[in-house]
Amino acid sequence: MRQIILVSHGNMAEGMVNTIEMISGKHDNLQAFSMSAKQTPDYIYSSVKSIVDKFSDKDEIYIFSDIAGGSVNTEAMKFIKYNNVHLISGMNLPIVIDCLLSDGKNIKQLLKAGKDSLDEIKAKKYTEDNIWEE
Amino acid sequence: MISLVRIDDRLIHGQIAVVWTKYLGVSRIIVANDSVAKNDSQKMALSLAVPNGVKAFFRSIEDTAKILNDPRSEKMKILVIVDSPQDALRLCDQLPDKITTINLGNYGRMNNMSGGKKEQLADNIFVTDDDKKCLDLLHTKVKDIYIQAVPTDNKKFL
Repeated sequence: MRQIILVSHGNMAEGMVNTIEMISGKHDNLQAFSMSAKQTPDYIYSSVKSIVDKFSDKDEIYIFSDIAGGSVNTEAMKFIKYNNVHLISGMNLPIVIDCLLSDGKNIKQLLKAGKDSLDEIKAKKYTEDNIWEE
Repeated sequence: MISLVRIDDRLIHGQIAVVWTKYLGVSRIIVANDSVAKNDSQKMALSLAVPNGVKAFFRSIEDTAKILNDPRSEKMKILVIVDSPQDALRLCDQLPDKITTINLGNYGRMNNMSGGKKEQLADNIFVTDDDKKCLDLLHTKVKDIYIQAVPTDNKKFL
């Protein structure tokens, strides 16, 4: 099972988990570490390390950070030297849920779906397909 | 074929779009609701929630029964959503023996009708006396009625 670790400045990571649980229930393989204003980036490093150390290199680990260039992401970058660890910055809800629920998708597919999910909603006239057609 | 009949007063929303459709592997969602079937703006809003690869249709209870009685529906996996136990009952009556289980997903938190006091059966299930009578009657027609918001929750059988 994939392990997913969310890391952020402030409550974004934990908030994301809270939102995900409302939509799709609890998941043992989903963890969040939120670095508060009082903490140092080392908190992120040691928290992520405690998870990564628990798994072998055969287990896929996805780390999602809030934004590239932030110190949270910089700490997470220390783990991408491991083949089984992937780091994606700029997490959004759709990509994290997709990573959680779509086991079969690889990182390229996840990134495409995640990027496509960020879009303007336009009002359109309601039209319907034929229910019997594929 | 009917993959699931679900009572959910939010109709199509996050849990449906993101989790249930994937878990059930359905290609069709039918929202069986007389008033939504006539309301284009509601249909449009609800259809925005539908994920790629799944098509949503909005039909009256009677038209939904017609579709589900059509032999062409046997080869597709369909999630049917109604917004109340009363509508579930109406649907069952038009599909004798075709529905064996009902999933009670989200119900009763929203409407503050004069139906009177509500009993809370689970986190997201609130029922009036009328609702309870309706569920009892439904239970004589289908084998199982269970409360489950998302597939990872435990099922709570009534």
